[in-house]
Amino acid sequence: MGLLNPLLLLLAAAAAVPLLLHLLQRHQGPRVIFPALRYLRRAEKESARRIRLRQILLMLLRIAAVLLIAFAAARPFVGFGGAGHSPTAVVIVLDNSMSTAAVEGERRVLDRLEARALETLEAAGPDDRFWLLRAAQPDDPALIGDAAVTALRVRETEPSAGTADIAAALARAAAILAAGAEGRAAEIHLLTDLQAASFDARLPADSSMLPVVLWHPGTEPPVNRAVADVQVGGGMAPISGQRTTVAIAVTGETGGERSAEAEPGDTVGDPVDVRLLVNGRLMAAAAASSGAVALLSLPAPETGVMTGSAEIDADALHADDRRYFAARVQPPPTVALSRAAPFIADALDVLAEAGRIRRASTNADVAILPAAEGATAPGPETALVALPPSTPTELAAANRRLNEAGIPWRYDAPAAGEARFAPDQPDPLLRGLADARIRQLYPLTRTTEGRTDSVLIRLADGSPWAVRGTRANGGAYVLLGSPLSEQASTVPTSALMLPLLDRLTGAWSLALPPRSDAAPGQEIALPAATTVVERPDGTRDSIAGATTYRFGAEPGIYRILEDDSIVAAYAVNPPAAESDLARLEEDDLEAYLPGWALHVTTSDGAWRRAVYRERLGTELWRPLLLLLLIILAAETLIAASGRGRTTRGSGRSDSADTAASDTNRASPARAAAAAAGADEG
Amino acid sequence: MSIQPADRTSSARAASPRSRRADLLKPHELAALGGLEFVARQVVEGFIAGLHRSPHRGFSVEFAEHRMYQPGDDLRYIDWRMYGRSDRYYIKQFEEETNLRGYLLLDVSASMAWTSAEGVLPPKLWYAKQLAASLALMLVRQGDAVGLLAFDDGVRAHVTPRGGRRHWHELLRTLQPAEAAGRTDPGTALRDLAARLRRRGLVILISDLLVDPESTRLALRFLRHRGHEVLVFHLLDPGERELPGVGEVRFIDPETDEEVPVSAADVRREYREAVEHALAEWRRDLAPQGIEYVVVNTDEPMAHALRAYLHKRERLG
Repeated sequence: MGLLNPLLLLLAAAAAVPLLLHLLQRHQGPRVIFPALRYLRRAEKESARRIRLRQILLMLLRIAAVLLIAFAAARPFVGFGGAGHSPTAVVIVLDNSMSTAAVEGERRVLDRLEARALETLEAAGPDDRFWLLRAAQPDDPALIGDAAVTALRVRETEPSAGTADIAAALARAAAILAAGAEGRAAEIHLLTDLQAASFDARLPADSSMLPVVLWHPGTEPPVNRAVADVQVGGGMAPISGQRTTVAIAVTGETGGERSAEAEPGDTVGDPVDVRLLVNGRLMAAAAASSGAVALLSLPAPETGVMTGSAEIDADALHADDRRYFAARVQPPPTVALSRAAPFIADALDVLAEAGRIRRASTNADVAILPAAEGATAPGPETALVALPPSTPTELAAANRRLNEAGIPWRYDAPAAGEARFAPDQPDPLLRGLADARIRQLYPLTRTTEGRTDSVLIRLADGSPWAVRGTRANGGAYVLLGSPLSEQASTVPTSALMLPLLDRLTGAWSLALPPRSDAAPGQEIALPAATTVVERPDGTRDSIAGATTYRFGAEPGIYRILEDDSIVAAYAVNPPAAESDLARLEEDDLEAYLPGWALHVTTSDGAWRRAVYRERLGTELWRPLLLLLLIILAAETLIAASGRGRTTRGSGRSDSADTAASDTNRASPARAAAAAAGADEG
Repeated sequence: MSIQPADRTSSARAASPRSRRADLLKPHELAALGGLEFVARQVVEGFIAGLHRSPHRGFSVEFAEHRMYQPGDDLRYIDWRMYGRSDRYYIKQFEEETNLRGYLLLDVSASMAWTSAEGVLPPKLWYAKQLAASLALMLVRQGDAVGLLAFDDGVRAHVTPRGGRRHWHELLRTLQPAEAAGRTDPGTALRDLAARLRRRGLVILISDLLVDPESTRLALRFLRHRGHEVLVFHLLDPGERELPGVGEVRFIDPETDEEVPVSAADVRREYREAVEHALAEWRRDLAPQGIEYVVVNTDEPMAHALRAYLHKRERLG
């Protein structure tokens, strides 16, 4: 047995009040002139024993009531199962990933998770301490507070557009408790929909054996379809004045990742309506089944930034029923070739014929320079695409030209043997490069430090094959590690030659990002002239000298502005993996959280019993309250019996009497009636 | 036979205290009528006028005077000769001469000044004075001699018994200034009275009997032993029957300043029983001695007490 608030036992001192009143009472009360004392003495003599017993009983009941109140306020408990607990430091890990916005029955999953968190907080004691970690917002600070403040924050939590990293959140919670528990019992309350995608990483074994009380709905996830991907122009930047296509991938209840990788035609279920909106206008519509890709044709767009979204009918999870896209539409660039190069020339002709470029001899937007010939001539408005020479004898001259053009790279002597491209190219259009072989490779070496260049294509050993940067005069350049000739590699004779040249003459040389997609919370490098970033809801973030920007949790189109002119646009969409609502089996949890003291429950009622592992026992306030009520009822009955005598015994109405006065010797009725005001206790 | 009232306007005044029989008025109504003499006279007049309702036939044998007929008067006493002469109804009233000596013993101790409802109910002493004056008038009108002895723990005033209206006024002058003070010891007064009385007579004790009962009963028995008829009027304020107030109260005896703290609610029932017990004791102890004992509540009309006197007087012949 123990007390949760032992200091409140001091209230027991108030028990002296009824005792003092009892002792002082007989010496107080109004003085009343009353001649018939002869009868009164006889009456008192006859009832003295009963009166004394009754008054002592009343006094004892009142003292007992005060003691009971003090005892109940101290919150006593006995040492077997109950609601009391020792002071506890609790980290509530609340999974607010996009999947928790799914509606099951008539409630969102997140609402149920929040309800459990609030139950935790309602059962909190005054010495408990809480932190709230929103698992889908790992960059947010851990919010510390008491139960009331934390409850407010729990209620304010809304589903994020991002994914949750449960393992990282648990590791962070353990670190918080290790530093902040300050002698309290510590435990983690993990509230999650147990979505498999949230358990990507395995957590190292926890040596502290922190109890992790986990609640999940324990139900089958609802059916969910999603717009998994939107690609404009098959991944190639749209050209103004030319029709282009938009590929919209629809995934279904079988899971986002698997559906995204499904072959065309591998469809599931009934088709759903797919709608394409550009700049807010409905441009095209089609029907597609889960796993299928809908190809919608777009009219020739004008130069500028094209933004829009693809959407399907709403289902249990609304957040993935719309996906945004952004693309820059440009006129075809003019391209010049400085020396004869058969495969390059042929490919340029094909691109020119397709309208992707225009051929030029001077003042071109892009100059392709085999052996870096002519690298020094163009001004900063011309982007250079420099290729190494076909023979090593020209290597020195080529490096001299690169140096004179202000390109901080040089070619090393050709490496022996064949080389391969890395299989995981960042540009999905060029992932086929993994099959190509490189016979002639001039390793690229930086000549100066401190410049920010980006590697566009890497080799299998990690070394760069294609880099992009800015020349000394401000113009852009792209440098390749091999000539585009049949002798140097298999690339010129493969289907990748045209996409590669499209990238070289288009997005890469014009310093445009190949894709404009980003995830919620992702950080990007801003164009130099950026002054404002406009969020999807129209609010604007001023950029004062910052070179990077972190997107918010809200999906939509983020516009990068220079004053009022749009510089670029990004489509921020939730990860496609979040659309896969498949849940982890409880049996698999141990594999992801090895060595953690897991206590898993799915029942609403069981949650209250599962949390606060260090129980102090059953609190006794309920039986004490019942006992107090019984004592008060008994006291009322006994006191009323005395008052009842008054009512029955008096032949006159007490209300007829008026105020009492000690000095009013001729008005005893008034004085006696005033005595009625002073209750017996 | 239809009897018309002599004064046709009297019914219009029926509601006012002055138009009703004074012996049936409540004490507070009597107090509003006027002084001691007037009230006593009105009470007695009213009481005598209403005697026809009583089972007693009246007590007078000698014609004394006429008065106007009032509704309810016995038709046997209508003077038909007067009716023939004046066309009005008159009632004949009679007087009887006796040689009875009446002694009024009036308690003027401090407890008699008490009233339970000041301004509403007159003190016991006021009631006692009115009763004494009324009884004295009735005795005088019967031709009896009447004396007065006011006492507390000693004799405070004494009027030798004599008859006649003039003597009644002298008696009133003694009654009028009597103030309540001192402790009560009727034993002393009764013994003093017994020493003074040489002829047997009627002794009427008017007191609240908040006294030592043993010595009082002894003195009353002594009087009875000397051949006197004794009538005891026990004045009781309604506030003495029920203990007033609730909660802790310090009750103080006005005669002794003794203080008794009690919880009024706790002893109320026992108090009521104690009062009833005391009254029963008085009745039980006095009745075997042939002493008439009458409890008079001071909120009741005086007719009750006068009727008790009349009953006693009738038995005396």
